[in-house]
Amino acid sequence: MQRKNVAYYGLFASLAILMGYVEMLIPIPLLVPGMKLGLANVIIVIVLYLMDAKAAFFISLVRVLLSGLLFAGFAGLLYSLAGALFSFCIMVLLKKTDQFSMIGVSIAGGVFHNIGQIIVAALVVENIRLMYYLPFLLFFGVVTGIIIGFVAKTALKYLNRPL
Amino acid sequence: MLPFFPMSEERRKAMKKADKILVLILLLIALAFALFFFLRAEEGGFARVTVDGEVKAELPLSKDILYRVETETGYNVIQIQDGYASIQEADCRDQICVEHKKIHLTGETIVCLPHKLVVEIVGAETTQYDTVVG
Repeated sequence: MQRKNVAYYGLFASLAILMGYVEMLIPIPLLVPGMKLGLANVIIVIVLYLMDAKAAFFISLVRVLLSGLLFAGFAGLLYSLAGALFSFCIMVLLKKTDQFSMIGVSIAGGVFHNIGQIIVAALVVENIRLMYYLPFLLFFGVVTGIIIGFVAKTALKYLNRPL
Repeated sequence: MLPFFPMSEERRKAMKKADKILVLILLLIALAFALFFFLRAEEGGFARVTVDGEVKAELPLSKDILYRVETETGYNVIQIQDGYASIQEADCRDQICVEHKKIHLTGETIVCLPHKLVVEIVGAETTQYDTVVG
């Protein structure tokens, strides 16, 4: 691994963790359990386009593990991990097809993050009725995904210059 | 400066055709699920309380009561009042269940993930367990 990459890995991982923390500070009305802005996904999407899928995968993993340790505790880790992995896979797939813009990739990432979490949650409480929340999570996932996609796209425009 | 509003020409073009199709499909799926749940929803008869998949109690919504559930990880106090079920108190760390709005239609649920507890509204006929009242 090049030295430049080591620096970028560290920088983006800490940014992603920071985004997760900022998100916790923003009081959003909790209409549905599991509903999130997904600010950290801004960083993951940027890394996916600026660097590569491998970098995005490891930064996503480091973010989930460290955020879990720092803020949420280990009990929430399972949900975050499932969400992050689900979201990562679908984003890489959509990006590979070359049909979608960053916004489409980000929307799919947000939505599948929620779906991954709700599946694990339904398995944990052994109650399929948790799927009751799915339509809400899909809808909010689309809305936040569009916003996150715009932010990532705008940020990338500036980032591309010095790199 | 607000960077995202109003929609400029550039921003409108930012979404590709495939993006729009994706949004449409996701919203349609959400709508289909929503219709599936809400069209079948009716005034429920009982609040079924399950912990870790095991039914602990079925509380009739017609009778006001405070019902305390002890789980391995803590307790929840379920409140039935005026035909609505809610969680009045719990010692879980996130308090999501306590902040959840009260429920009364069949299919509606309140979940306390840390305690693996689910409160679910079921119809009057579907009950198959004895009502457990304190």
